[in-house]
Amino acid sequence: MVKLSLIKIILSLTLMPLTVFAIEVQVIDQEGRPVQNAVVSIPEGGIEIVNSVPAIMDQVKRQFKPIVLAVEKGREVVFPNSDNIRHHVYSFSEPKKFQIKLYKDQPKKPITFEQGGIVVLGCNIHDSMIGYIFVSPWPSFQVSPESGRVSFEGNPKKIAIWHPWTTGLEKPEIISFSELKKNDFKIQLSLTPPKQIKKLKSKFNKYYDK
Amino acid sequence: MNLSLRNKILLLFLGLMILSSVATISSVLLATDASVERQAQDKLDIGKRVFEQLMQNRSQQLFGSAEVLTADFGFKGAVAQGDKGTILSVLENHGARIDADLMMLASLDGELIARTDVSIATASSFPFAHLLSQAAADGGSMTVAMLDGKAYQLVLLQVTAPRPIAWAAMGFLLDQPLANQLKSLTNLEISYSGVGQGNKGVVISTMPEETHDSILNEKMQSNGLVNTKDKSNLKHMRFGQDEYLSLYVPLIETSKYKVNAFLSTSLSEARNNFSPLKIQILLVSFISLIASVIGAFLISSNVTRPIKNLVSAAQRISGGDYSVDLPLVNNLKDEVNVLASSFNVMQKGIAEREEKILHQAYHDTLTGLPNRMLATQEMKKLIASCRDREKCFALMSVNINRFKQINDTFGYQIGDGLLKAFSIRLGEVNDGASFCARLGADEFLVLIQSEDHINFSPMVEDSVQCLSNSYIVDDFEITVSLRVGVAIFPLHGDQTGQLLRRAEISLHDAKQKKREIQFYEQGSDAKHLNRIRLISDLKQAISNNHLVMYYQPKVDLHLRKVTQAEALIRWFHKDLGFVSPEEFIGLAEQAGLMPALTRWVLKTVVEELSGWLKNGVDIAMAVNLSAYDLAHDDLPDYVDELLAEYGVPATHLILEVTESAVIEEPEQAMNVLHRFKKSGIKLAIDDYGTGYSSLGQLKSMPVDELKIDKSFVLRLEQDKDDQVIVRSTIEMGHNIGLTIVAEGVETKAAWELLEEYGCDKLQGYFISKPKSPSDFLQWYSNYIVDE
Repeated sequence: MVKLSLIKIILSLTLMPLTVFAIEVQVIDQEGRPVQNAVVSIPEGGIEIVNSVPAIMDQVKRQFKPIVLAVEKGREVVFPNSDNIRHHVYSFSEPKKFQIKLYKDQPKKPITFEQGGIVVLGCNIHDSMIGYIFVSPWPSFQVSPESGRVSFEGNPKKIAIWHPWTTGLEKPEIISFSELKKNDFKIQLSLTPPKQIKKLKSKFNKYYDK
Repeated sequence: MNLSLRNKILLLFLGLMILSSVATISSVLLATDASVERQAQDKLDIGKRVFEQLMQNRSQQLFGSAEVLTADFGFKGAVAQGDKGTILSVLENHGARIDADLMMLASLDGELIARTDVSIATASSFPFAHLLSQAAADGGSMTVAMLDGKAYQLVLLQVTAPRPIAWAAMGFLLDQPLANQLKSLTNLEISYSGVGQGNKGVVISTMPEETHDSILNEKMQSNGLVNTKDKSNLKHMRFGQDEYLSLYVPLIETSKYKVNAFLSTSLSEARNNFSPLKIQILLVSFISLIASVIGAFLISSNVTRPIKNLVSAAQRISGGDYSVDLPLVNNLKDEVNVLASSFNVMQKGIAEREEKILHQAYHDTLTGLPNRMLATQEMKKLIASCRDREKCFALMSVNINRFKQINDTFGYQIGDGLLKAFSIRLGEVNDGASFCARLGADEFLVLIQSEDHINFSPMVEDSVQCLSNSYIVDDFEITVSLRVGVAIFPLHGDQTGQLLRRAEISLHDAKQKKREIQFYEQGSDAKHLNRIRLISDLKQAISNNHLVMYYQPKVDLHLRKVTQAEALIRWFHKDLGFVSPEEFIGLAEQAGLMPALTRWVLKTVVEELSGWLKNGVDIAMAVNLSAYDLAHDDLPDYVDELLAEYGVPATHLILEVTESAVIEEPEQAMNVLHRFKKSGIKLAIDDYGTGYSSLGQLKSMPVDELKIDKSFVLRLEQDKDDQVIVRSTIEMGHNIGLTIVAEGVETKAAWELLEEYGCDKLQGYFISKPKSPSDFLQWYSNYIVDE
């Protein structure tokens, strides 16, 4: 779910100040804090050029790094293991099902994500490890940094937004420019962090819930 | 209640013992009951901890198994790919590992994916969908839930890949084997109840079938606290003879169903463990009760026996028996012993005092002689014995003549001494063979027995002779004269009272006749009785106005008319007719009726006179006074008041007194006469010439008139001596300034002689008899003195 609260248009002068527009949006959560790891894309056009250099989804200290990786459709991704333990990376997601059984260091070959969509990554031996690869069918996309701010050149008619903690996990949500403008170019997301299984265990220390 | 002391003590002891027994027994019963309850509670508390531990263990087992299931990579893959066959097989596999009763898989939306116990075709939907939203929020669920009328311990966990993709549900049935197992572990009865989901409720219990309905009832299922003190959910259940204490453990309550557990223990059984103790206590109480009854009986008998003795002693004493002393326990100073000894002292004292009182009742205190009462008793005995043996005795009533004068002369002490000496000598009379008694002040009684019938005179005379000898009292020699009345049994009577009365009458006669000894004369008694009757009648006559006044005129020879009248009392007795004044006035004097009689006469006369004076009958009235009237000084005041009341001048009243009346108490009489004189009342000497008054006395008396006694006048014309006496008396009277009245003038000759002698006033039948007031007035109006 996306909420628009404030719209702000920024006109900035570039080398071609009369012809080039740029927009900046900020992703915030339900409490107004900037949201990291949100994938903001412009749902326009198709992929014409695929970057030949594989993207990297590293595993550091039993966490995927980055947690959210955005790539264009058809890109190769490598899953290096920077920990000194083994990992078993897998995906049961529809766009790309795969598993790289217990391995160390660099796997033998990268995985190619031919189909657009969202791939949830897990580690079979470390339940707490969750990562996401946003396989974009559109050429223009960004993952929000800590500030939550992303900017695009041009004059997009709409914007697509996705975050792993939103309930609609499978696909991004499309927001029209006018709506964006109305909300002062702030995209508010309602986020629900997934439960940690360790917390559950401590909660259920009795035989019945009371 | 009329209980004896012993029974009261007995009852008190019994009551106290019963009370203490009841208190002991009931406190023991209460204590055991409380103990049973407390032990049951403790047992339930311990059982509850075991129960909870076991339930938790099962939950942990379920949870652990579910964790293993949901972490299984193959399973995750199967779920992610929707491979239902694999999913079902994995569920069955994991379910079999822990012998789970329920294994299910559902989508995140709550759609049933797989279920092991029934085929998917028959199971329409995931039955625990309603739990999922909460479970999602919590990341899972561990609960108790109902399904198809059965209760399950249930674990819901998400299948993650790595984000949640499905719900896995695993459950253990809360069934009979579980209950049995718990029972064997806790030694408690274990019950599970589930209600809701449209059925009437299900019970799984180790208790008998018939208890199940009670478990399901409203009270048991509610969360009410039975015992608020320790805040445990305790409930009492009763099935026939059995009573259970149950701990209510709520497991789950949703809008659709409610599952509770009950841990129960039998109170009856626990109580039965105490019954040997109870029986022992009852036995001990009973034995101690019996012992105390016996003890109380002994104690009360011990305490009450001496008191009983005292009671019977008191009853004996009140009955007049003082002879038996109470037994005393030596050297014992307890209260009962002291009381008993006091009783003995008391009864001795009573006996002595009674004897004294008895003696006083029958004896004279001064002389120690028997009194009238004892004399009467003695006479009765004597009469009885004499009658049987045909013997006789004399009853002497002895009086010391003029004893009053002896008392006055020598004083009372000497008088008493004389009486004592006299009494002693009485005892010696007739060689001490006679019975003596003192009846009154100077009145004694002597009974003299005699073998022969005939003549008591010598014996009586001897006795009187003996008694008349002089007495020496305190160095005074006193000579007494006696008056003795004698009555003889059976000659003068055969009854005590009769004999006593006749002796008294004889004594009276002796006094009258001034003789020493007077034997009873036949007929005296009748006279005496007659006199007594007359006295009685006279009393009534005075109060009932049966007496009347007659008036006899006196003629003044100088004024030649009636100027005075003498008032004379008349008594017409209803039976006896006319009773002469001489007779009944003597009686009145003896009977003490004179004051009343005199007052009646004065009042009647003054009242009459007042009427006459108002009607112009100018007459002065003369009234006779007795010696008694002169001896008491209250009469003058009465007369003054009377005259004032009726408005009669004192000059119209003449009071006549005899010489003898003045002589008896001369000083007192003079005093009274002077007071009359002072009031203006005229006084006259009546019956002059019959007494012994001296001319000196006559001169000193404040009198106005002299009435010559009629004995000198009645035969005046025949008797020369009388003529001399009358003439010299008139002369003598005139010489000392007195008016002379002659009484008894019955002839014209007498009248003329008296007139010739210079007599002032005449009274007699020749003028008029005494007349009733009306007759007098009629006579008065017609009477003219002949010239």
